[in-house]
Formats: sequence, C-alpha cells, structure tokens
Amino acid sequence: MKKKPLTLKEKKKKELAALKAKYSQSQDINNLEIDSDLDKNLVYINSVFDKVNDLVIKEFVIGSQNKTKAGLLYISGLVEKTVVDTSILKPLMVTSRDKNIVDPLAENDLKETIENSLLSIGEVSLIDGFDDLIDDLLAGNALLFLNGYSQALSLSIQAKETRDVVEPETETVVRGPKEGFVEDFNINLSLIRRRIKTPDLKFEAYKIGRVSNTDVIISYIEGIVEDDLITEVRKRIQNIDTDMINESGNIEQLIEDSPYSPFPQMTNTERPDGVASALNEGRVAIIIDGTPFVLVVPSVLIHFLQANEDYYERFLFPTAIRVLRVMAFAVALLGPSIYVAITTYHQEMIPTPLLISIAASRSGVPFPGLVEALLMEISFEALREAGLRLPRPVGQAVSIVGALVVGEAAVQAGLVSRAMVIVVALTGISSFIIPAYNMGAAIRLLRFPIIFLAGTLGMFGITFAILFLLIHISALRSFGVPYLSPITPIDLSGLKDSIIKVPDWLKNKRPTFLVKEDKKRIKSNSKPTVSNKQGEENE
Amino acid sequence: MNKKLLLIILCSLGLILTSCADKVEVEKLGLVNITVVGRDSKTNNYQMGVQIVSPKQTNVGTGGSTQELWTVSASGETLMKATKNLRSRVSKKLAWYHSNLIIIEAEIAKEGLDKIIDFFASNQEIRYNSWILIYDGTADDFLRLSPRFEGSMAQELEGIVQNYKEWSNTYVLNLKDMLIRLADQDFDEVTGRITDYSTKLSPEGTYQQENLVAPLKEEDKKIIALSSLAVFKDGKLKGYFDRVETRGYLWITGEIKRGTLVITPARNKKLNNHSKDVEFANNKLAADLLKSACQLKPEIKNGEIRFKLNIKTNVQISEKPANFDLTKTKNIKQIEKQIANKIKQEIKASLEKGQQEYGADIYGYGNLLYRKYPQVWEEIKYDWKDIFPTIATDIKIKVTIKRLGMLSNPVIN
Repeated sequence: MKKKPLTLKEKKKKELAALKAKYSQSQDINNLEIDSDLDKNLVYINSVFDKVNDLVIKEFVIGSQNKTKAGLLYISGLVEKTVVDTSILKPLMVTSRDKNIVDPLAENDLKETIENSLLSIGEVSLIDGFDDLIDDLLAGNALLFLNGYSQALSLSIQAKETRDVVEPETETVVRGPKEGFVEDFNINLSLIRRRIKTPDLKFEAYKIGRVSNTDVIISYIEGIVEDDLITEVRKRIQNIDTDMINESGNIEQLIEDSPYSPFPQMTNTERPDGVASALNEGRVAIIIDGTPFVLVVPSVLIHFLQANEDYYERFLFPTAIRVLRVMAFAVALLGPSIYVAITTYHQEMIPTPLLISIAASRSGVPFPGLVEALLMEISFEALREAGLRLPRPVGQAVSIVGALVVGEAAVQAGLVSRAMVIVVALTGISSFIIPAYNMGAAIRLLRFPIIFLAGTLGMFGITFAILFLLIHISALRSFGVPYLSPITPIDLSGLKDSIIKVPDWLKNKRPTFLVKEDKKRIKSNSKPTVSNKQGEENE
Repeated sequence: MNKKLLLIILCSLGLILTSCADKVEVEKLGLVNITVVGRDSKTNNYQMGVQIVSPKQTNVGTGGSTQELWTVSASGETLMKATKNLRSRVSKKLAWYHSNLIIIEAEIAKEGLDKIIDFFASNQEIRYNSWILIYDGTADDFLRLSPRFEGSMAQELEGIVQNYKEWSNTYVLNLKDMLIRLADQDFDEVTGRITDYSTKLSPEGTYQQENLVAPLKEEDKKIIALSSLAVFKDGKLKGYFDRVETRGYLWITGEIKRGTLVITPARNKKLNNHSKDVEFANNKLAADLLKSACQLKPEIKNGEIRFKLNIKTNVQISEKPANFDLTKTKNIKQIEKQIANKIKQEIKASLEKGQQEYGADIYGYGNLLYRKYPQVWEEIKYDWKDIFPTIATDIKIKVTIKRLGMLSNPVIN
C-alpha cells in the first residue's frame, strides 16, 4: 500500500530518465515547445547544455502557502550577479512570502503577478520555444521557469565586460576628440549617434557567423548615401556565410572587391569622429561587435593618406602635410629601389661629388647593391616585426640590438655602406608617415619586388613596376568607386579634399565621386568676414 | 583568365629581354676627371692621358672619405686605340661621364681639332657640356701639375672655368659649341688657354695636397691659370689673344659679363696735386662693369658691307684716386668718355689681330650677314675668307656711370 505514493515519484523519475535518454540521443531541438512541467524542462536544458559548466540552474520555491516550484537559469559571467541576487531571487524567495502583498498564487495569473509586482527588471519577455530560449540564455539573459506554465520569462540582465572609452592608440591626435571605439558595439553605436543627431542615421543590424553569431551593423545616413552603394553593401554582407567573425578583418576579406590586390580597399578606424565625417560624405560604416575597428567603405587611395587631424587644423598646414605624405609614399615605395638602380646602372645620373662619396662609402662592401639593399630591408622589417609583437620591455632590447647591429656594427664591419643605412632609415621613416597601417603594409610588401627589379633591370625595372602598379590601381575599385578618384577620373569637388585641403568654407559640396546627386554642405559665401569693423568704431 | 595569363607571360618576357650586362657597382668605377689629348713625341701617335678618382673610405670608424687620384696615360695610333691601351693599365672600369674637361695639347691643336672633337662627340660617355681647353705644354706636363686649392686638378680647373664670367678675360667653349662651330665652315673657333708658370711664392697647399706637392722639385711647383684665348682658323690653332684682345672679342660677341676697366683720368691742372714725374697706380681709376648690351649688325650701303657695333654699358666706379671729385658732372662725363675710348681700343686691338692678322671669323660676322642678307651671302660665301679681313666695323659706345661707390666727393685731400 505504501508503494503507491512511492511509485508516483518513481514513475516520475523513470519518466524523466527516459526523457533524458531520448534528448541525449536526438539532437533535434527545433520547434520544441516548453513543457508545463518544470522538471521536464530542466532535464531538457540539462541535456542540451551537457558539460557546460558555466550554466547555473537555481531551483527554488515561490510563495508561502501554495508553493510553486521555480527554476532560474543563467550563464554565470554573462549576467549581473547582484541583479540576480537582489532583483530576482530576493523578491521571489523572500518578498513573496510576505502576507501583505497579494498572494501571488491566488486566483491571478502567477506570471503576471511576478512580472508586474515582484521582479524589478526592466526588460522582461515571454518565450515559448526552446530555440529562442537557448539564444536568449547564450546572449546573457536569465530565464525563469515556473512549474505549471508552458512559457518562460526571459530577463535581460546582461553584464558585459567593456573597456573605458579612451583615446585609440593607433590613431592619436594632438587636436581633436580623444575618444575611441571599444569592443562593445552598443557603446560604439552610441558614440556615433552622439555625433550625428538625426533620425536619418540608420543602423541596420545583421547577425553573421553560424558559431559566433556576431552582430554586424551597417550604418549610413539616409538621404546622403547613394542607394546603389547601400544596396551593394547590404548584398555583400548578407552573402557572407561563415562560421566565425572575430574582427573587422574577417568581414573585410569576405566583402572586398579585389581580394588578390595588395592594396586595401576599405579603411578601418577606431575614431568615432572619423566615422561620423565619413558617413556625412556619403560613405557607409560597418560596425562589428567585439572589435573597436569600424570599416568604412568605399575607400580610395587618397583616403589612406588622410588623417582625422587634417580636418581640425587650419588648411595650410594639413595641405603641406599631405604633400609630405605623398612624397613619403613615393619614398617608402621606391627609395631603396632608386638607390640600387642608380648606383648599379646609372652612375652618370649622380652629381660627381655625391657619386664620389657614395663610392667611398661602398668601397670594401662585399655585396652587390641589390643584395645589400635586400639584406638591410629584410633585417629592418624583421626588427620592426620583432619590436611589434614582443612585450614592451623586450621590445626595447630589440630596438637597441637593432640600432647597434644594423646601424652601427654592420657599417663598422664593412658589411653594408653608410649610404645604404641612410636610405633604409629614410625609407623606414617614410613608411611610418603613412597614416593607415594597412596601406603602409601594402607598400612595405611591394617594396621588395621593386628592389629586385631595380637590381636586375635598373631604372627600366622601376618604370616597369610603376607602370604595372599604375595599371593595377587604375583598374581597382572599392565598392564601385575607382581607386584613383578623385584624381582620375577627375572630380573637382573631390579634389578639394585630396592632396590639397581647401578651407572648410570652400568645401561647399560633397565629393561627387562618392555622392552622385550632390548636396550642399555649407552655405556659399561662408568665408569669414569682419561684420563690424570694430577698430573704426572705437576710434 | 587566359588573357590574364597571356598578359603575365608577355610582361615577364620583357624581363628576359634585358640582361645584367650593364651592371657595375659604384666602387668598381674609375671616374675620369680630366682627359688630356696629346701627341707621343717618340712614336708620333696620339697620347691619351686621364686623371682618375678612386674614392676610398679613410677610416671605417670616422666615416670620412678621400679621393685617391691616379694619372695614367697611354698612346695609340688612334684615339680609341689609346683609350683601350689606357684601360689595360687600370684595374677599374673607366667611366667618362663625370669628366667635364678635355684638355688638348697646343701642338696637336695646330694640326686640327676636327678629328679629336669628332671622337669625343660621338662617344656616348662623354658629356656635351665638357669644357674644351688648350694647353701650352705636353700632355705629360699637364698630368704632372698639382692643384692648389681643390682636391683634384679637375675641380680646380672647373672652378676657374666657371669663374671666367667674373672677370671676363677669357671665353671657353664646351664640346657642343665647339662641334657646332667646327661644323660651320665660316665660323671659327676660340676657346680658353691654360698656362702654367712657376711661382716664386711657395704654392699654398691644403693639408691633403701637401703630400702631393712635397716630393716635387721646386721648379715643378707650377700653378695653372686660365687666361687669354686660343684662336683657331678652320679648326686649326692659329695663335693666342692677349687679355686686351680677348676682352675685345667678348665685347664684340656680347659675351662680356663682369670685369674691370682701368683708366687714368685726365684732369685739369687745378685738381692734380701729384708731381708729374710720379707715374704710379695711385692715379688710376677702376670701373666695374654692371650690365652691358652689345649689338653687332651688318649693313650694306652702296654695295659695301659694313658692320655696326653698338655697345651700351653701365659701370660702377670702384676705385679712384682719393682726391678725385666725382660730384662734378664734368668729371663724370670725362670718365665716361675715357672708358668708352678704352673699350674701343680693346675692340680695335682684337679686330686687328683676329680679323686682319689671322683672318679668322671667330666673331660670327659671316653668320650675321647670312641671317640678314641671305642673297648677298649666297653670292659671296665662297669668297668670304678673302672678304672678311677687309670688312670695316663702326663702333659706337655709350658708357653710363650708374654708381659712384660710397664716397663720391673726396674725403682725403
């Protein structure tokens, strides 16, 4: 006789065990509805999250009279612990026993009562299916199951580890905003929103990556951006079918126009002001969760030679600096090649006194010019790479060794000439002047084949390489925009902000190579004038 | 895809077309500084002498560099042969493209420049802006000369050549101009003449050249100078102009740049404090040329060819007798007149020697005549050599004193 109640429990146990076995065998969880039996649900969750140690399942009881079993599920680390303790567990476990409040378990709908009068959580939603439930759980929500209800409450109490918004190390400015993007895309969106306070600023959200489920946001200003462009970006983003998106680079490689080109076809930036002004020019920003780097498309060659600070200084200085950058670009690309070509093939091009001092510095050097240049360039790149990847204290040691070995000892030992050290140093400095790291990397890479061509064919080889590159970049496009615009095809409004930068009051139109239908940016005749001649009045 | 492949193959074919044959490292070059052409007196062959710079790093630690200078000469039946013989004695690859000076022995210049100039002009390594200079002595003599100021003879001579505009006492043609003049039958050549002379003073030497100079005998310590003009006729050295005649040449051709004219101002008795018997430099006045415009024009009047030379020049008084009063207009006029006379003398002296004695049309009279009166030229061009010495030149000179210097009225009496 006593067996009866026992068998009930046992029966249940058996039933659950069978269920568990069933779940663990079949992985198919699609469209599974939530059961009204808490235990069954928990068994299911347990089987899905088998060997997932950071899942916390807290079972407790609500109310003092008609006790209802409840279960709270969350992934520790993704939720705010204090909120769990004070805003969920305390009201449900302690306050619900209080006689003064309406017995939650009376006639009313328990769920409504909990949601409306017990939980002090802002975002609460009801969930029916298990697949939504698992998504929510992994996104950092806490789930509340109540025995007897075939729905779960999803409580949004995510806690995210974020950095402070600090000045980005890769793009420092002397004058200009000192804030940079962080890893959390919500903060990044807010940083952009704070600079463009118009409902026309759109954020289109996509989830990309079967495993990573990364949030990718396409941002643009409606009314400025070209429709074709935004459709193209949308299409390319939607076409991505991959498992993992970790960084903007993953997206970049999947959506760029010419994947084999050494030249980067989109800029990345950590600066909200840079993104805001790009959006205002009719470009599109792609924000990826988990990285402070935001992609900006389309980007042409000239964009890689511009820095944000150019726009904050008065126009003369940035123009001069941009000319310097173009020269540095040329030196970084061709410096050692021209030296090698001239000293091994075209000695007649060097003024006599210079030739004599070059020849003097080369006397006793055992390598031909080509080998010397390649040797120095490779060791320079090696040193740079070593200094980049090592922890800072060790990096210092590397730079000391580099300066001593490459700079001094090699010359003293007569292995390389002084002139070559100067050329390599100049080239190195020039490549640091290019603001965009990815463009700098492209040039560093291209330098080597050009040195080789210069060493075997002289100036002919360099001309050959330049022609080859020119043909390539004239054909290159970034989201349909020719890579050499606004220089070729020529675009006058774009030229105002290219190698030269005109004063802001002259930039009355957006560059038409980015925005076909031009919109006015600034009132014409905005040139500052003295409205009342104070000096005269005072006298 | 096939098109791309084809393009790549075509491009890389271009790479095979050239080879590394021209490749030479800088330090393997022997840079020729000066080329001297002479005659080997024993064999009567051409002699080719060069001065080669071979740069050396002095000290690995300190990084300075010195030039080691080598002088080599070789002879051969032809100039090319001599050059090849030269190469057999030098360990470096000789490179001529930094040589700016071609020195030609006077002896060989008398026999004609045409072959020598033709050789240099058709050689691709020789620059057309190389200066052509005539040297009195032999090629060996020249190579034995040592520089005083600069590290090498070439630098020193080049400096001197470039300085000639400062004092307008010579005129140097480069290879290109020499070639043009040689090609023109009726345009004769001139160029600078190098002379060397032993100096009574010990040659000033810098630290580096001390060693070069020291082992030489006292009488060999010569210094060089570029002055006066070597005058050619039909490509053959005819003779030399002295400084006055050279200056005259420069006035006629308008090549005068800067220089100094010296006169002894004629004064009225009142002003002259000096006793008559003291004829000394204290009495002289010097005027610096500021800007001159010279115009030479042919004119045919009554069938007679005459040339008109109009000269306008601005001068500055740079030196004068201390008590000479420049505030007086009369004095200024007087000086202007005297300077004009002086210039006239120079021109006349030049024409006398060049036109009448040598009969060399170094002034370009024939060319000017041809440009202005081509028909007349057609008639007389075969007789030009006979006609030229008889042509008269009317000289008109206007001198303006533009500046007087800081002191215009006499301070010291």
